[in-house]
Amino acid sequence: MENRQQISVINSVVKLIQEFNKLPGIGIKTAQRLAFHLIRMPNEDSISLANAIIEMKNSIISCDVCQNITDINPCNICNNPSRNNKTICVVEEPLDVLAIERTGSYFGLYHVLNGCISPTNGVGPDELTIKLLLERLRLTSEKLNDSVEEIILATNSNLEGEATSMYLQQLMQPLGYKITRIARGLPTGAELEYADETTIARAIEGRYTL
Amino acid sequence: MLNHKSNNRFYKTTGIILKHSPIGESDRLLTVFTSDMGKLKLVARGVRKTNSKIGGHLDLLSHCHLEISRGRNIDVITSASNINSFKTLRENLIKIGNAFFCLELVDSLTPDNEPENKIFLSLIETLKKMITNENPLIIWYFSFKLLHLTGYLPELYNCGNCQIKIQPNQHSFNAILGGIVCKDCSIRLKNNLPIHKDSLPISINTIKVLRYFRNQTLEKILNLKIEHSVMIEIQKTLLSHLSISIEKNLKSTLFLNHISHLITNNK
Repeated sequence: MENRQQISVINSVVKLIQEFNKLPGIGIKTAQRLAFHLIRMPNEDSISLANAIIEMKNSIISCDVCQNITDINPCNICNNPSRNNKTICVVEEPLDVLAIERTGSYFGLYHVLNGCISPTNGVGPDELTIKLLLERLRLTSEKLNDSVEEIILATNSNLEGEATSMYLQQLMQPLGYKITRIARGLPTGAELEYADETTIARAIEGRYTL
Repeated sequence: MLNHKSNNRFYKTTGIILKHSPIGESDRLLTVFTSDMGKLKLVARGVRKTNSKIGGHLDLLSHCHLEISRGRNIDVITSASNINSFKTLRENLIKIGNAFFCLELVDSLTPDNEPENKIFLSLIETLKKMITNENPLIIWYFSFKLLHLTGYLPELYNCGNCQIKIQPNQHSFNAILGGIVCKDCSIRLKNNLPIHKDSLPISINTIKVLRYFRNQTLEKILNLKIEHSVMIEIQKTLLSHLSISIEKNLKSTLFLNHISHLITNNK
């Protein structure tokens, strides 16, 4: 009886459980399981986890140019002279950059907005990195060799992504850039029967001659 | 009142998606305003994956059929299909901005789980009207109707301070006091800064239009010819009343301002 009471009030364990509980998708039970797993794990493994977190937080910054997460400034992509600096692909989140890079089919630069316009969730244009994008475009146009020609809007294909994309188009079109939007329509593996009307309409609009 | 939600393990309804947020690896938490069960919070599993069959049907603003299964903490959408995705509203920045406004309004003014079919019908009517009609009055009429249906109607006939019947004169509108404030009270209130800071001038024509909102259909309202100055007063009055009723500022109005600046700059 005393033993059970002791474990439940060990401050360091309680604190650890509370910290795990803060993470998304981790409820109290999972937090407790994780905490007790760490107690049983060899010391070196637990400490290396703690160190990995500290090291990541100390080294991660946002790239001054594209706002992607990186450990060097400017990031590996912005710094890479073999990338096509005439095209900027605007995306919502750093994970989107990862997704596109994995395809190995895009060789231009990126700009990460850190979200999308979503008034119902309290996010407007001021909460995104839009001003930084405009500033970046202004700076590169001053250096004639590095002039950007095309801006690809690769925000998600939902209402907020479309709102963000349309807003950016209205903002940047007067500046003379070629503004393009990634194709939307039926994803690979999808069936026409189950698709929603917007998807099908877009797929038909975006048809091309074979 | 028969609440069929509590009787069955599975139930069906139709609703409009007001809000969504990601949870877990590929799920979303949706806020849906339904035709018969009020505002519901539902989980849609796997919708963030590209191969999701129902994901495309459950975008914001979509009006869909929903089949739902009761869960321990929260109910789960098992099947969904689009009735109307309001595609035209998604193709124009101003229409999107107005649609966001309507969705944010309904989400902010309604409590969870309280059936109100009139709100649902009014939202559908408004969105359908916005497809073909660009009259700015549409969203303000909807705001007024929503305030009415949720019990936050502003007082338009008697002074919010002294209760005398409002006669034609230079009155003001004060959302903290609940509506129109007569000329004499308006002058006296100038010394009471915490209340006076929310006072707005309001002309007789604006008062007439707002009273008309209360009694008339959307069709009749759209036949009105409104001066620009009255339009501005209607917007300011209703926004002030909304921000006091909801106790916060609507983010979508900021977005609408951004859009109108952009468009006037681009002309």
